[in-house]
Amino acid sequence: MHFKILLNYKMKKKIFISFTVLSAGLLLFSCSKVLDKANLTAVSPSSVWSNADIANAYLNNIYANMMPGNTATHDNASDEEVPYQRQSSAWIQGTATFDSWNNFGQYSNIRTINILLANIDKATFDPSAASAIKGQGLFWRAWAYYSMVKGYGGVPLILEPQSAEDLTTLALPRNKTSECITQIIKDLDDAIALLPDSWSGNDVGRIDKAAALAFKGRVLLFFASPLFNPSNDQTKWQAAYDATLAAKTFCDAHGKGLYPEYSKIWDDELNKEVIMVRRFNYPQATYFQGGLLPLNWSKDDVGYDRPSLELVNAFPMRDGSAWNPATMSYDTLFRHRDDRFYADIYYNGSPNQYIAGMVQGNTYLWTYFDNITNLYGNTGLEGAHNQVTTDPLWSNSSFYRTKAIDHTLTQGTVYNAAVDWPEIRYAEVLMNYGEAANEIGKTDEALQVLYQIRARANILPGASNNYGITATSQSDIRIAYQNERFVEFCFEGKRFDDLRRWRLFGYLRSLPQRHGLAILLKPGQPDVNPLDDINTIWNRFTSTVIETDVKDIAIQDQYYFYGIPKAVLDRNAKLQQNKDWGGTFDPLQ
Amino acid sequence: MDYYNAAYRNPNNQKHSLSISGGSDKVTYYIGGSYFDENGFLPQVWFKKYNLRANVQAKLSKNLTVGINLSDNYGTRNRFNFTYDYGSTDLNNLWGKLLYWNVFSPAYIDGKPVNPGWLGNPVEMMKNGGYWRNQDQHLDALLNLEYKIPGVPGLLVKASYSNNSDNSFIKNFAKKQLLYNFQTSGTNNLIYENKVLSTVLSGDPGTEYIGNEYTKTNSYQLNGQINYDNQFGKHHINALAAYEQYEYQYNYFSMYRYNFPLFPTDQFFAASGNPSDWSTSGNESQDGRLSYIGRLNYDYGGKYLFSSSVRRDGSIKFAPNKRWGWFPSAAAGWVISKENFFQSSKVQNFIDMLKLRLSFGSTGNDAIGGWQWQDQYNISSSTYYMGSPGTTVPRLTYGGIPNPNITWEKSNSYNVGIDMNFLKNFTFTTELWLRHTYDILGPRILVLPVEFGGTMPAVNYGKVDSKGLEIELGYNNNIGRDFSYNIRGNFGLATTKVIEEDVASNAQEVDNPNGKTLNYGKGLKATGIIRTQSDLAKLPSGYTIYGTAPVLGMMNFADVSGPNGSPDGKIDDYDRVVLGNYFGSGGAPISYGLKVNFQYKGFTVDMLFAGLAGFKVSYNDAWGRNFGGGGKIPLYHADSWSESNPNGTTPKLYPWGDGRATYTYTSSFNTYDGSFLRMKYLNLGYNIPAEVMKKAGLKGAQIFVSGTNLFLWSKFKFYDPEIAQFMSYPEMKAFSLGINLQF
Repeated sequence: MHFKILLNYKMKKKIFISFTVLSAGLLLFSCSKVLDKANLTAVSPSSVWSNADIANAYLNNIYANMMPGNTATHDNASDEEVPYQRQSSAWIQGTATFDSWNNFGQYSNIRTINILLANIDKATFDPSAASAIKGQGLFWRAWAYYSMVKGYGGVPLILEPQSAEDLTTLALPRNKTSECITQIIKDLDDAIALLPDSWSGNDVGRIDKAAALAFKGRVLLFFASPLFNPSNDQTKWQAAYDATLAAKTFCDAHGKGLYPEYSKIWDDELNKEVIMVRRFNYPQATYFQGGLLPLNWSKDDVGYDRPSLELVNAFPMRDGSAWNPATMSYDTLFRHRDDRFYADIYYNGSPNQYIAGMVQGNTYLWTYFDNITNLYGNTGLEGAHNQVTTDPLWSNSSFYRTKAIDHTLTQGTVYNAAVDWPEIRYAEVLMNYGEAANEIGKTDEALQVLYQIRARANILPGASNNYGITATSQSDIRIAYQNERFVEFCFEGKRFDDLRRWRLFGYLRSLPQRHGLAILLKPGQPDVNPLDDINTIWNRFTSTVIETDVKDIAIQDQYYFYGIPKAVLDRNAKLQQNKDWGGTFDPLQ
Repeated sequence: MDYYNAAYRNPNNQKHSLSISGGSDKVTYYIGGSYFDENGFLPQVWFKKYNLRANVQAKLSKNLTVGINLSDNYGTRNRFNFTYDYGSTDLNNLWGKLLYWNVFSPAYIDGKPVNPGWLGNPVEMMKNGGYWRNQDQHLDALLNLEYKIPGVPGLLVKASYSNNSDNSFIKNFAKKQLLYNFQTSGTNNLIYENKVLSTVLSGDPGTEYIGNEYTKTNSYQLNGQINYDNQFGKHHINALAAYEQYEYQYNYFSMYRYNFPLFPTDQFFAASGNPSDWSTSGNESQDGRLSYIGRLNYDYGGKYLFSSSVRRDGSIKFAPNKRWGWFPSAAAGWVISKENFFQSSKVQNFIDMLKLRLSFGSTGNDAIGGWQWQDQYNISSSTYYMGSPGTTVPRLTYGGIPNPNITWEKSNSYNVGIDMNFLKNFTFTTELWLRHTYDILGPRILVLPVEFGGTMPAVNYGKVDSKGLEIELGYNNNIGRDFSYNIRGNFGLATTKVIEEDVASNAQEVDNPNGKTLNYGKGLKATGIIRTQSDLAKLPSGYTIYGTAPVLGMMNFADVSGPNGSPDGKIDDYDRVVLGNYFGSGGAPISYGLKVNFQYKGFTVDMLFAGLAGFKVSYNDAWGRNFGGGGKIPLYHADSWSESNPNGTTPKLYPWGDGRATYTYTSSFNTYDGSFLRMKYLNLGYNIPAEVMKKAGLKGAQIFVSGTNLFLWSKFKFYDPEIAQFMSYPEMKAFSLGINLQF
């Protein structure tokens, strides 16, 4: 093939000149513009602290990282729940080590807050907005330190964002527990002074004075309890009483109180009982609840928060009396219990269709077995589950948690749970106050609180108007408080900390295992219909108490205080290990 | 294996190409196109690609050549939509489920997909659960120009401009599948019968959706070059000065609609019209690069060779005053066999060519995330929900401590080599190399205490040395006129040493990477299974293994150290030791291979063997050596200890989470030698003789048959030692057949 290329001299010259110019231009064109790119996602530091909205956005990130949400555990080492398939936790088995709990991640939250506090005093926007932001920051710093100190004892107190210039100055030793508690209370007092009484509009959900006062009460109550106060120093209880009373008084004066219907506390958003809350909504902010639901109507995880028989038995009867296994039969354990029982526990055939899957399937959940091959097999209860409602990987206690479950969830939407989580509600403020009152001898106030809590749970006052509380001495009322907290706050993440602060591991070891019920269809009895009334067919089943742990509870007293993980000790030679774990630090100082 | 068999399809691929080329002394041209079609071994996995290119080079005058090279390719990748594997490149979740899951439930009964419960039916999900389809169009246009400066022989200027654009469009659709509940029977309700009880929609995907994503990237590269090449007597000089400029723009957006009110279909009109069911996002980024290059080559009589070059590169990742790096290199060669003293010596009878070469080079690396030199806050893509009525509020995060001093990571390599051809038929090459990489960019985390609460920015801190030896020996010969053969073997040895790397200030020696190889492995040292009561009695009182008291059948380990540096009667992280210097096939120090080629008349045979040695592999199965929740137990545990089998080779089995399952900890017990030799390919070809061709009007034709990855020899038998993890998509054996025609 041929192309005839007709180029005369002039054209060639033009091409040559234009080319030289072009290439010269290229070579001299030291296009440093090529390297001057802009960061398309950044906000410069100067704009952050001169604009209240942007500064608030920085604070919002702290909320997102720190505000607690709906709890769910596989086995939180307390008597609240049975383990999934006998997979008892290391704490229960007594095999936990200092690496088993690492809460030092709070320090990245503390650093974020310290950066906020260092800059907020120099902020150039409206001072009232700036002090409100500072108050919230101080609250969260107290929250972060409390969550570490209540587990380990004293930790290094870092109150400014450390500079990374000189690495040798960064390693700090642990402060004494008493110093940490003083700092936490100081931060809270400063916060209380700066925070508004309440928020409105888009700011509802932020920490206000009520939440800060309530949290201060929680902190002082914890540190006055036997774990950190083995000598029963009354001044600590007095301080706890003053703080919890101040919280209660403030809440009463600002419209907070017990919400009349216990079962609706989590369904009715932002009701009067809610003091500190994490808000959720579909589709912007949701979480996964699949692990809490029976697997028939769920997916991707299983086995969380399955109530133990110990918890079920702790709920009082409607008349205020306690459950008595000697005189009462497990076949009818669901009769005449208080409101909290029906709101928190799902039992075999309960008419509470708390899951959308039950409503769609026109059925209740039946947890009984057609045939049991082993009450205590490798995975616990083994056999043929009934076919009316199949339930693979069933609960070994035959109970399920119903507290704070999103009723709209189906198998496909288990990631879309949107139930608000009230971290602090009025009932806690009241109970904290009552417990402290009892410890300093104010027996009457302590009892009044118990009556209020029980009245709300629709328990009858009875002839002596004492709602079934027969305790009169300080030690008896203390036990009444322990039991009342157990049922009032079940599955709210409180039980294990309560057992620690009251030093009740001996009680756990005496159980000696968490128990459940094995429900079996009596031979010859027909299977149930999906919507049968358990009240009429309860006698088709036998209930047997079964043990659900892999071995007897062997939780060690060493676990009252946690050990500091090796990964943390490796990075700071000045950090001492707790003395119960082979170190020299005494968390009681 | 029922699920695996139900899903398996025979994979195959085909490739066809056609090209035309020709020209005269003024113009040359090439036009070519190809089509590639591949089907994977799972449903809905396929890939198609069309490729078209054209290249025209025209000599406009004696000194000026211009050319254009255009390439357009369009490919479509399709795969199923599997919730758990979405986005993974080696499908490890799916593969695990196919192999392991739910041994009692068949995938289909009577053609209807079975609902095995919460798990979902993975085979049905692959077939009918939607798809993910990526259509990618890529255009490259390259203009080049070369001008020989008249009057100065050997001097020419070259310029080229290349523009690349890529449009990638993804359509993503997921829908629920209809599953059937069958009657079960048996004492544990695990036997399935062919009786349908009800139907149910699958749990996955949780919410059905249709989505489109579009990524547009545009980049160009501009090169200018002045080249001088001339010969003066025996001296030959080649000098080059070049300039290179590159810019890149990336733009992405996505839009999804969730929920179909009437029925799910892969079109937007069927999706929900409610704004709360819509989700959109997008982002953008830029990049740029600037380089100046100079190179000088000189050789004398083809006997003494010398080459040097220098690069000056600028990167946007660093602050303006730190963004330039100088990277020089130099090389020298001496063809000893051309020397007079060599030619006249006896050695010349054996050695035909002998060349000695030395080189030094430095390169730079800027592979870190951008903007670490700037103090900045970033608006987070997540929000927080609060307010009454509720609303989402924005979040701002601090970008981290900036380091305005970060700059290029540098690597200097030194090389010395010998090339030799001897006894006419032998070729030999050996090379010794040393590389020193310093100013390695990386965050310093461990050096800070945890209480600092943050991380240091990337710092030019690390230093790594590596060195090695390579040998290659080849032989070619022919027997008679028709048979020729060529064999080439190679062997390589390489080792690395970390001189300086981030380490916790109080770390144990086993955790300190400094002074060790780059990929050393650590774990416990296994001392054997506790088989008898007397073995148990020999252990000290209070002995625990990660908190668990020892029982018969447990794997035991050596108590090497404790918090005080001496053995403490407990096995925990303090007792870890270095298990091997090279873990994983990526870090193998020894590599070797053999390439064989035979030719007889029109037949050719090509074989390649390649292997790696000297490294260890840590056996790891689907769930970190644990099992439970419905999966099969791996063959690894076939001979486990039990009261009736006290001489078992593996420890006693325990369910997931049980502290007595000490075989789950990485130790010398589950670490194996991973050395292997693989037959990488075997090609057989036949060149159809010319006489036959002429009759058919063809200029030439070849037929070929080949197989890749045909054999693997290794002591490690559990899985291919070269794959990343137990459940990764496996290495494939492929057989292909093809034909090549010229006309």
